Amino acid sequence: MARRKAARPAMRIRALALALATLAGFAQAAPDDPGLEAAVKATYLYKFADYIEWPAGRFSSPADPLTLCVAGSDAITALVDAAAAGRTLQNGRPIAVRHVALAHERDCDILYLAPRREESEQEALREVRGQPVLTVSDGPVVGNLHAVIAFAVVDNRVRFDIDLDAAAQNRLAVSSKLLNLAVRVRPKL
Amino acid sequence: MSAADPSSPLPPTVPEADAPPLPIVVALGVFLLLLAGTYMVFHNERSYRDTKAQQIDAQAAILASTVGPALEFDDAKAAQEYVNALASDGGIDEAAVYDATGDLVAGYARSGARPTPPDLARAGHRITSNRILSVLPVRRGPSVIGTVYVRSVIEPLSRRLERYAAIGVVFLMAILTFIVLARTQRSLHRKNLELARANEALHAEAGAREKVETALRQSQKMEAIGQLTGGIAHDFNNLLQVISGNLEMLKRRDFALGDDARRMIDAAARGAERASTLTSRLLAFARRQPLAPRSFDVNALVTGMSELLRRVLGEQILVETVLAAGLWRVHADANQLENALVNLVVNARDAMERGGKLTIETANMTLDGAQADAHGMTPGEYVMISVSDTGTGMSRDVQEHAFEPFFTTKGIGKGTGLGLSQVYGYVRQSGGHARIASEAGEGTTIKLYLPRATADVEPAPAARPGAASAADLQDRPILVVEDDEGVRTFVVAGLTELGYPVRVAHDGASALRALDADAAIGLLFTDIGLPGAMNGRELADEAMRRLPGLPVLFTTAYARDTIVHHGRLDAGVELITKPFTLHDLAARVERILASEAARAFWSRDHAAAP
Repeated sequence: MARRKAARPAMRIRALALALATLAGFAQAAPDDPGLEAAVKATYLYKFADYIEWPAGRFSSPADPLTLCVAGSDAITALVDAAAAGRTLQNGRPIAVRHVALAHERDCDILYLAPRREESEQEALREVRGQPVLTVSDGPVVGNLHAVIAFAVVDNRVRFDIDLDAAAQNRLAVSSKLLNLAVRVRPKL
Repeated sequence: MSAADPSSPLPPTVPEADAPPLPIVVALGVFLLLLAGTYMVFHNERSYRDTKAQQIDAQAAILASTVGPALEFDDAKAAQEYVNALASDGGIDEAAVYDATGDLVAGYARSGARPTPPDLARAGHRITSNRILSVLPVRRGPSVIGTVYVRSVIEPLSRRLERYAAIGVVFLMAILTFIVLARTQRSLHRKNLELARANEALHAEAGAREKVETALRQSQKMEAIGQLTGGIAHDFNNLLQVISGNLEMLKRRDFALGDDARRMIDAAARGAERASTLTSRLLAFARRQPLAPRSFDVNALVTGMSELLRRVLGEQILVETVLAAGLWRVHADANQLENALVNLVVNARDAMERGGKLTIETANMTLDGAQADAHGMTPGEYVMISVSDTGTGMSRDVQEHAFEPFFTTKGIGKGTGLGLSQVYGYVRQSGGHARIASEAGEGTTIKLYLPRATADVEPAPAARPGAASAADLQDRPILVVEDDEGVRTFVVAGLTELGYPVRVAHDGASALRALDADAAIGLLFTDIGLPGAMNGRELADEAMRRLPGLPVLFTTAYARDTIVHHGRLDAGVELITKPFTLHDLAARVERILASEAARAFWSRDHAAAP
């Protein structure tokens, strides 16, 4: 149900999102513009999936879609949905974007914690801890628990940090290609 | 005469034709090496470009695969890092990453300016004269998210030339080595040829030497046989002298001999005479026969013999004489040459039982040192007399022994084996040579070489009967010196019978004593071979010193070198050879006593005598 509800507004702003994505991809991302920043982040989300290895058995078949959960506003969900629309992973796996409420983040492969609320962030991270979920926070996490990937803005560009300790806790392997692009990498403890 | 010429010098250089045509071989080798070198350079150049293109493609592919995430996450910095990492390769002068719209994301150009991208739509590599560039799309799944571009300079021409120069140097070395090897091989070849020639010359020389040595051995053998033969003949002659002399004495004495006894004596005398002929032929071979050489014309001699020869040869054999015009005169014993020719013709006849042709040829012949050496002869001028037949010929083995006495191929009773040995001995004693050229079945040619007469040496004219008659002189005693008692007895008896007073001595010393004891001695008759310190010749010399002008008559069972020099009697020397008959002796003694020299001696002696 939630998925269907989320799809509709996503369709509506697809044109905008594409334009934003294009801007984000080919022009320099401009974090001064919060909308653009969000759009860039939205396009990055599904791309992360290519460089993450989930535990064996997580996907039953190549057609088994990757579930990208967005815990945030409808607008952000719509942006993510628009960015991933029609896309697959490099290996052809389809992508399903789902809006989730915090604490209801079940069956997610990627969990994007869009709103910056510390308490709920820690709670959500605790919730999926140990489960094969790629957690992505919108900024540096404040608290004990860290997301695997945390967006950061460096030199007015959208970049990210990677926490290998968190990845290991969630039984995820991160490609070195992605690590090369990370601003900071927090090693495994 | 001689085919081999060992003295001919080695040719200093070998004809070019014998050596391999070096320039062509070398040129071909050098050409092939150059061809190989050029091919290697081109091949290297091409494979270098191919390899380079592959390298650039590979580098572009690496860049494309690594830069993918950077493009996805808009990380121009990371992309630039990749590009820079690539640019650290010295060969790459431009590299760039473009996004999907063709805008530059990251780039490097050695020049410092912006990279100059080619047509990005055309993937793959392109090779220009000095650069190789490669363009590859960056894909994310099915979609193209960008393009990479890598360009490399091809190693500068100078560098490549340097590398090829290294190859060139190697090839140059190879070519040089080749030439040096070829030259070495050539000179080796030449050396080999020279060596082969030297070897050949050596072989020829060895062959010639062997021939000379064979000739020498042969002549030494003949010499030895001659010594032996001569010794035997000498002793036989002494014995025959005793036998025939006593037989003669027996006949002369007025014994009352019956007819039977006289017949027997005659038969014995004939036997002794035949034995004497045999020994004289042996002596001829042994070169111990006294020769009476004079200068004469061989052509005239041959012509004079032609009737005799025709009779010997019979009607089945054709005779041809080829007599050289202007033939030199020879100095030899003409009678013995006649004997020799008869011997040769008889042999030729026996070799041509079914008829054939006999050729007698004369020619002048000058032998130089080399020719003479090759045949064991003495250099000089000769008159050659050859007797050729078309008979059965001689094998090589027979030729080797043909001149030896008693060697004969004729049946028992047919030949004595002394014919050719007489020829040989005579010619050798005359200072000449005899040679056989024969092939079995092809006939035989015997060539005699007699030395050319240097001047007309005519013997002293025969003594003319002088004013003083032999009777006047018969009161002068004859001193007989002879060691063989049988001979001495016969001579003394014979001379006594002829009416000459005789004094006797048995060796040189006793003869001199006899001379001193009787100054009236008018003739010395001495054997040449005497026992003791003095031989007959020396005795004669001493006697003539004491009695200058004393006539001397020598006798010998053979003529030794003491009076016979090179087979010829010294001028003025009188010799009677054993066996002689009393008649011979009387005639010879009378002739001497009647000679001018004897008369002079006698008259001087008379004047000196009281």
